[in-house]
Parts: sequence; structure tokens; C-alpha cells
Amino acid sequence: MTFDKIYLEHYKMVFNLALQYVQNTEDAEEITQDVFVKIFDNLNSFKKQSSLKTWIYRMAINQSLDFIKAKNAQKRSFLSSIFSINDSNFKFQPSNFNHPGIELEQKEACQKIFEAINQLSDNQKTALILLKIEDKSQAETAEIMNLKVKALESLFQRAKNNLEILLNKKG
Amino acid sequence: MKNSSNKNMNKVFEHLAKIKMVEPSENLYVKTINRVQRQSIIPLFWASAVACLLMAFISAEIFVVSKKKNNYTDISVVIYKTNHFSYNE
Repeated sequence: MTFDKIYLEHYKMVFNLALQYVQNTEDAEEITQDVFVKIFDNLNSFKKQSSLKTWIYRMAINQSLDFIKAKNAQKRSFLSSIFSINDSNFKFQPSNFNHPGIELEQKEACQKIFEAINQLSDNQKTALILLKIEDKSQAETAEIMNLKVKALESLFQRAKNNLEILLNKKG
Repeated sequence: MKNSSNKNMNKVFEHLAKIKMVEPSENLYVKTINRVQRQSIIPLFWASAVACLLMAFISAEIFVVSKKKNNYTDISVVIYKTNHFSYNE
């Protein structure tokens, strides 16, 4: 399979998945480019233990999480250099919430929900995004996350509880 | 209590389910291909590393050659002095 064909079949999926993590078009485009550069570099080492789609999903998830970690580290070092604080619980919030997939009347509610989702742990966030936004089945999500379905169920339950707590805190 | 919390969370999930798939900008493909092509050319890091090594090698070579030149002048001075022997003859 040629790189062009892989790109054309998966770019939309990669871009939209990245968008759910960063809620910002520019950042999602940057992540998409990074993912396809990695795909180009590692296409020969793809071992077909999972399907190509699952492999690309995993790559997109890891790249999005790495991007967020890098942004968090950048912000943390900037803040600590100015105010000499060391806030290890600092969580990513996009500088400008710009999610083109959300309709205008939903924007305020969704922004609040995403602010809470951004506070969840990486695994909980991924489970929520795949199950509730990307509308993947439990079996597909478990395969992408390399988990057993039972483990995914309890992970999702924890994510749901934490999300509820965070949303109630915000009021 | 639990029912109302479930209802709230169902509302939250309804909001999330309404998020639509988006088409990225048209030039994303061109940007990606440019990035891939830039990647396949020798990376800047390695190019600068090789340049530094080459510079270090050339300066070491110049240093060694200039030191060698100094040695020759020393020897020539010694040879010059021993030449007095033939003069006395």
C-alpha cells in the first residue's frame, strides 16, 4: 500500500481524533502532519500484528498525548520561571477553543465538558473520546487501547465518575 | 440521586455525540508531503554535526602541520651550528 493511499484513507480520521484532544484546528493539523511523518518513517516496520487502522489510531493517540505533554511542559516552565511555582498538576487547556465540529448553540456547553475532559488522566480521556465522540464499539476501543473489554469498562466507569465530579465542581 | 446524576451524564454524552466530523484544510496534504520530503533529506542536526567534525579535523590538521614546521626550524638551527666543523677544516 502506497503512502498516498494510506494518507487519503486515514487523514480525516487522524485529524478529527487529534481535534478531540486539542480542540484547536492549528494544533490538530500539526499533530496530523507529525503522525503521517511517523507513518512514512515506520511503514516498513509495521508488523501487521494489528490492522493498519488500529496502528494509525494508536499512533494518532500517542502523538496527541505527546503534543499535550510538550505544551504542558512548555507552559509549566514558563510559569515557574516567572512566578517560581512548581505546579505538577497543571493540565492542558487550549489557548483558543476552536473546534469546528461543534455547532454554535452547543459551543458553551461543549467547552465546559472539554475543560473537564482535559483534566482526566490520559487513559480515561482516550476511553471517553473513542467511546463517546468517535462512537467506537467497546471491542474496537479495547483493541486500540490494548486492553481487555472488562478493563475498558471499569476504566470508562472511572472516567465517567471523575468527569461528573469535575463538572459539578465547575457548577 | 443516582438517577439524576445518570441523566446529567447522559446529557453530557449527548452533547459529545453531536460533535461532527470535520474536513481539514485543503493544503494539509501539501504541508504533510513537504514535511515528509524534508524528513527524507539529511536532517539538519546530522548535517551540522558532520560540518563540525570536518572543521575540527581541519583545525587539528593545521595545528599539527604548523607544529611540524617549528620542529624543522629547530633541527635546521642545530644543523647550522654543526656546520662550523667543516669551516674549521
